[in-house]
Amino acid sequence: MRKRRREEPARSAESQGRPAGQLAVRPVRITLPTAAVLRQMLENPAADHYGFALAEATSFPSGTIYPILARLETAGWLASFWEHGDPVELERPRRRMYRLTGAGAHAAREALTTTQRLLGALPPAAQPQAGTA
Amino acid sequence: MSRRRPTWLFGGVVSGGVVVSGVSVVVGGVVGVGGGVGVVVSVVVSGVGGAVSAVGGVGLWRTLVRAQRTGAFRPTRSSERPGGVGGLRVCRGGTRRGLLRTCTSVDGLVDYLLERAVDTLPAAARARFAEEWLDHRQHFSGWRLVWWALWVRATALRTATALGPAQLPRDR
Repeated sequence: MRKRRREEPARSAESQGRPAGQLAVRPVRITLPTAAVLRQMLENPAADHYGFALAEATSFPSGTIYPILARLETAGWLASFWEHGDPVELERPRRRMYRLTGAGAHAAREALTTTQRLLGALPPAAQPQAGTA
Repeated sequence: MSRRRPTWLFGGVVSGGVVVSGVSVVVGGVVGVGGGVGVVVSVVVSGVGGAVSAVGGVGLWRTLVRAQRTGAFRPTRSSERPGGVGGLRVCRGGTRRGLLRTCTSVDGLVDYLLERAVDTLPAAARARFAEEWLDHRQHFSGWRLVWWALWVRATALRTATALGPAQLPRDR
């Protein structure tokens, strides 16, 4: 039973048209801060992103970013790891870095595209009628 | 417990002094509009109020220092509140620090908030976030640091929920 469950994600990945070898990711609720974080990471999806820099770049308080990063990581969209290097040599605490996984980058693109399509373009603002003011 | 009562009595004197001072200023101001007698009354009452307040302030300071030394700020039911949930104890490296030291320095307050935030997280993630927050805290100072720590403390439960198994069995 347990084996069958583990195989399920691979089947669903193929059925969804993802490249073979990519693991499935769990769905994540896309809030505005989540979208901002994903957008920022998709600027350079292969790069390692520093959590504090993500908070600065998205202008959200870092306290807001931690739950989002944790949620994305738990869902398999991100992978996190400590930066290489000795803190003594670096003369600062080592940093926790985040990187989009392959499936995570794919899912992030899909999620942002869907969000953008749902929001669509803003309707034109109503023109004030002349003489009514 | 009865040995600690005098310390709280000092607290009552302090608050009484502050109230008397505030009321006397208001009363003095109102009466002072009436004339010279009112001014004299207001000065006298304000002086008495100020003196009481000053005595109370000294009493508060001595009370806090004494309570700090005697450990009066330790929670009474520490066995029921591991990690100092009562908000009156900070455990770090096996030492105990009181409310006075915690509240009178930014670092103490931030230490306290971050430790409480870390305690909220699942055990497996505590060391990792403690180190990550230790790194991020280097970027702030002063009130921004306190604000950041408050925000981290406030959102720690959300972080813990995101890390926990609550979201795992969603893709079926």
